Amino acid sequence: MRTLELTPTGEPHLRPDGEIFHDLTRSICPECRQVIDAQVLLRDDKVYLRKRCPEHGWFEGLVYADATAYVEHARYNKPGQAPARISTQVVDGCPLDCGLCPEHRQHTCLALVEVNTACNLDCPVCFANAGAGFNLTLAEVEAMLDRFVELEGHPEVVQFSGGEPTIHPQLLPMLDAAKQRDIGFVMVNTNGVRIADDPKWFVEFAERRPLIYLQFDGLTDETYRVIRGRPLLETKMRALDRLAEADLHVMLVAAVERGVNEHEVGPIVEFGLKHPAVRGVMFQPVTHTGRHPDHDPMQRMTVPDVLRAIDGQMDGVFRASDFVPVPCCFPSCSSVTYAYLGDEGEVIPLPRVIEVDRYLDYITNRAQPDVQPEILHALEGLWSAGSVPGDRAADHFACAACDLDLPAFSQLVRRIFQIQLRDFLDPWTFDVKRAMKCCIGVLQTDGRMIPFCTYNTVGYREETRERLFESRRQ
Amino acid sequence: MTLEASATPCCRVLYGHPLVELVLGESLHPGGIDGTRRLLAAASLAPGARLLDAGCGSGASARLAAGEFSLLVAGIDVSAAAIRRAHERAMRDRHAIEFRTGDLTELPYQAATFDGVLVECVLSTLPKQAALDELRRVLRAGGRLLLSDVRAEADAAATDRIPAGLAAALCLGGAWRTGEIDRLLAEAGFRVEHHWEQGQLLEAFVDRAVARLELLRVAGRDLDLDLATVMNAVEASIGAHTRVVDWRAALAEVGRALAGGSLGYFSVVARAS
Repeated sequence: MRTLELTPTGEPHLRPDGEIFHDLTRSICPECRQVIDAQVLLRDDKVYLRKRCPEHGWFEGLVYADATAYVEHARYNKPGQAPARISTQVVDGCPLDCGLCPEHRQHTCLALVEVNTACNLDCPVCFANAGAGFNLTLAEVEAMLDRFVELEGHPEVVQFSGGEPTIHPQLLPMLDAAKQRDIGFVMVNTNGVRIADDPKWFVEFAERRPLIYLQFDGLTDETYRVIRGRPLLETKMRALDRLAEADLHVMLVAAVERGVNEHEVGPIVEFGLKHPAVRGVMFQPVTHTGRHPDHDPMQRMTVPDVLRAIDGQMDGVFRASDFVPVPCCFPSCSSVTYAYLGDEGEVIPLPRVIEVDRYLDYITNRAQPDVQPEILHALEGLWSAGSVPGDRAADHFACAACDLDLPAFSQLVRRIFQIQLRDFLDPWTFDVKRAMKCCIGVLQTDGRMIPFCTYNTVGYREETRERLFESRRQ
Repeated sequence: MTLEASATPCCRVLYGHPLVELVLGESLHPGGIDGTRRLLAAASLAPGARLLDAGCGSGASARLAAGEFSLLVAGIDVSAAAIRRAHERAMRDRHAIEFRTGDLTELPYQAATFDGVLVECVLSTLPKQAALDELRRVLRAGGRLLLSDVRAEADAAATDRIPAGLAAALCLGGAWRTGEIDRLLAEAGFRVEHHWEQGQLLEAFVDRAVARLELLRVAGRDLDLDLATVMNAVEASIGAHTRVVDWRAALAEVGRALAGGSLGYFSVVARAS
């Protein structure tokens, strides 16, 4: 926790002159979770959120380390799209009526099913604060999947998460249940330990052909020791080789922490480009929700910090300018790029070939005569929180490149590589404006869908855990 | 490699070819449609004014001028293939634009026909003075010239380091020298009203063209497409060195030349006296 210093009169000690009061929004008190007003401030080309709780005083946290980009990215704000069904009514206002309530501004691109709370690791950093709690039953998960179809019509992606989903005894029938429904893609978010260590189980798991979100924080044991509590590099490599053998597609997911593994951002991408199982890398600045070591909310990693690291560590293979914000959610939440990988190691980022930024500009350029609808549609498919690496992304890529007017490009079903940066909100950066347009949801056993960052910061996670834990003791 | 040695008229030879449009984008010039929009806005021609797009290619700028600026537009280009596409696309977007094939140094229009003449990245491929005289002839007195083009300093070490193929592709041989802009325009009877530099547009343009060439080469090889004919044609037209150009290094040289000011991309609005 960090509060601002108080002057002798009891007023907060304000920062030096020269900061820009950019916006007023609502947030929560990091201490008591009460909903309070918050100021979005621009200072030294960075974006901060400052707020005051009547009981706990002033709080301030870094939101985005590039104010110019933050302000400019407003044009990537795609008009929202209502879900087929909503689940609650507006009573107390956002973020207390989840969800989704009629005020939510976006449907759900990707839904999480947290099948358990237990984990086979005990990491110092864990947004889910994994540990003892509950195991969902197969019947509960089936009902949740049915509900997802009801809410979305034709849902795009479901991701099984936890805890650690691979240690749930019924994960395999749960994957079958998801595959049997009208859901585009099925993902499993895992630390890879069981994939590496349980070959017999893995054979059955691989038959379901899920997409794998593999936690992969770096290429040194030191990084794993700090973030995960023990050296894991060898385990991760074993898991990856096994996944490659089974021809499963993998997205490496790296939690990035300042002073721990920010120097490994470039090497992780380089590694991913070469590994046969890997279709992309997702970087997530470490969120200070759930369980985390002491941290300074003024010094945290944000999306622009990761972009700078990529730019500085990759010698032009990828540049910061290759990334474009994802317009379906709030534009500062996520940025993405794609590249075509040639057989001889060539890497050609799509935004250098097509003017992606022009197409996804929803404010300035709506009346442009030269925007072709089919390319816009393809790019919207790629620049979505529900976009997953694989053949469908390759199809979109081929169509986006159809601007080039070469029919043979439809054959582009080779390796398309994705790099995604996604910043989750924590109690310091929580912003109702972003939460209201969130398109990643956590499915609940009672039929609700709660936006991911709201679930983690406002108290829903704790509530759910307690409810499910209690219901199983009775 | 000196600028004079790279004076191969690149786009002039091949630029009606669809592949060139594919590599350079439909606008075929740095800044694309946004650069054109800025130029049209700066010229403040009244709706209904008559505009000639000289060297109009497939007509992207002409359609913009007709659609967004409500001008009465004519377009002319040396490439019959480009004019064919320009016709089709104008029909598609329901613009009444009169396109025809012709030479910029011998325009098939009467004197003082137009209120404005737009000429983007074209004069660097032509004898400038003769072309300017001809553009002045078809403009009425008080009409506006809307000009964008590449600027490069002769004998500057920075531009000499740009690899031959790329220098040719950028028409650096025919690029404008600083000082030449005001002098040649004055001699042709124009007074410059607005002049701005947008070197970053050139860099982005080269960057995109390089990425597209690379994508064609790699995808062509990996997918076993028959791109050899077109690629050979491009290479033949922009210099035999293209195949071995290290594009990344070449881009870095362009960036350095832009930063040092010996290379640039300028836009001018000038009034016909």
